[in-house]
Amino acid sequence: MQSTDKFYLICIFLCAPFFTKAQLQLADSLFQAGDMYGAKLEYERVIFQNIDSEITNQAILKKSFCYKKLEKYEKSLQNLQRANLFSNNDSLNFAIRREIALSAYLAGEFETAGNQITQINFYVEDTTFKASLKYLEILTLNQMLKWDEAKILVVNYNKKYKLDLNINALYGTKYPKVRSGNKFEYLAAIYPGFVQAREGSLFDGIISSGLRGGALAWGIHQVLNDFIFSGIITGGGLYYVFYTGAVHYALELTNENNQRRIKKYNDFINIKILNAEINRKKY
Amino acid sequence: MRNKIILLFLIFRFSLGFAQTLRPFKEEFRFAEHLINQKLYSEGIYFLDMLRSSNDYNSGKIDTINYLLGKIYYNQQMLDTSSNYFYQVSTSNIKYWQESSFFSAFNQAFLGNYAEASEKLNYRYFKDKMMVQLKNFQLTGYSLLNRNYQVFDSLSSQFKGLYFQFAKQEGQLMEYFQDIKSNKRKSGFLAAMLSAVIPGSGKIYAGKTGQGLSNLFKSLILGGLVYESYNQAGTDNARFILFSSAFSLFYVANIWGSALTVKVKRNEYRDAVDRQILFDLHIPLRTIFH
Repeated sequence: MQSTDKFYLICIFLCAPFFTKAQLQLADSLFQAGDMYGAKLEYERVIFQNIDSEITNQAILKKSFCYKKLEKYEKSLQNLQRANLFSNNDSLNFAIRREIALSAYLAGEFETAGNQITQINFYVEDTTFKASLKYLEILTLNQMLKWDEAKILVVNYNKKYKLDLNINALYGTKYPKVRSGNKFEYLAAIYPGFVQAREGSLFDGIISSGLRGGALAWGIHQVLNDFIFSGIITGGGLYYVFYTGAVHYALELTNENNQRRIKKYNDFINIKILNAEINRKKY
Repeated sequence: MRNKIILLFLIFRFSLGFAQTLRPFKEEFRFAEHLINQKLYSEGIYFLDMLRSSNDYNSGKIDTINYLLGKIYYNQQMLDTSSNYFYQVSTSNIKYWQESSFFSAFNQAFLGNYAEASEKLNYRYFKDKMMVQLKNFQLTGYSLLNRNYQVFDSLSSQFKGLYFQFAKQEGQLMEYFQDIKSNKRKSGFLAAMLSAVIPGSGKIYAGKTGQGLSNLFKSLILGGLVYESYNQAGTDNARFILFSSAFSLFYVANIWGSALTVKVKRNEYRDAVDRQILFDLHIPLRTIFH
């Protein structure tokens, strides 16, 4: 072998351990092979070496894919928050921002997802990229109960991609009733049985009213028969116990029904939007 | 020329794979510390278990791995597992061995295994004078937790207050000891008798004033109901029988509850003092080793 050949061979041999990109490739191959734990570790090693911020960002992004495969969306979000979102590689920054929004949505942190989408709309000039996230923005607004804003986006989304979505069928003429606020709490405090009946538990409402009425009647009966102390203590005490239980139950029932109504309404819309997006990407 | 290029490519690929297996241990150790600092504990455990099972390391490196595993489990509050890993660290690395010895014992003490904590530390012999004093301090604390006053007396007599890292805590241990000794033991029988005379007074005597007053109030209410029933309708009616039964049941339960409250209060006091002792045992370990 000539001396120049030897020289080149030695150089390659010595340089190989220091190629962080090669490290990333090892992690990628583990990811492709389905070894998420091994891949996560190797991506973290690249992050730890921190030789180049672009490579570090790539490793952070790919590590979040591992977390997503393992359905650990909160961890994916925590991991992505380490990325430098103002590095020179715009397309990588956008990809990371998209993953932050998506991981936040999947983790149920809709406010965080909404904030990230707002930032994307502000910082990112690439309209194609922004358009690709419209479906996520619509889903997030639905989850945040901002149906008016979501509806406007769906109209534009439908028009732009000619998706043939029936907006009125999706959102209907009325949004689901969300019972909350002071007015409702006063009503529950005044007449909890009525609230229970209104929320679909007619039988519970009748029983609750009956029990309280019975306790009150018992107390009055006792007082009228000169058992004043017994009447006040037993009648009043029973009435108080049944009353506080009924108010608590009425509030719980209302919250449960609110959640159920919202979920049913949103699930219907979200499935249609997701199907439309999948079909759009296919064709 | 073509053969040379192919050869170059093959050697490059081979050397890349070869280099992956030849990472220096120091780099692996720094990476493991990075995982701990980033609180990536599950990844840390996975990585260190992988290193342990590779069988490529000598006992010194295995000690480092055990030490780091001990730290990870300690940070996750899995103290029993942490204690076991710390205990496996040998004297090949004195710095890790010293720290591991103390934390292995302390973890057991925190879990309530005072005798085991003392045993783990007793057979560790340190050369450094401060470590010897620290060992004495820790063993004194474990004997106080175990309420073994004889051992406590003999160990605490060796307190010198020489090292600022735990001089104050040595004084605190003596104060806890005095406090425990002077704490008067209350009688469950007396609490029950007091409640028999005045409902609720037994609980006040036991130290639960709020509960005692509440029981007294409820007893008065029930007593009032019984009195009114008796006054209005005599003894031969359902109302009187119902209320007097309720009153009797409550009265007896109050007496029994007052006797039990003495024991509950005693346990609460013991737990509070033990928590303070453990806190003071932990401070010098954090100061010296972190």
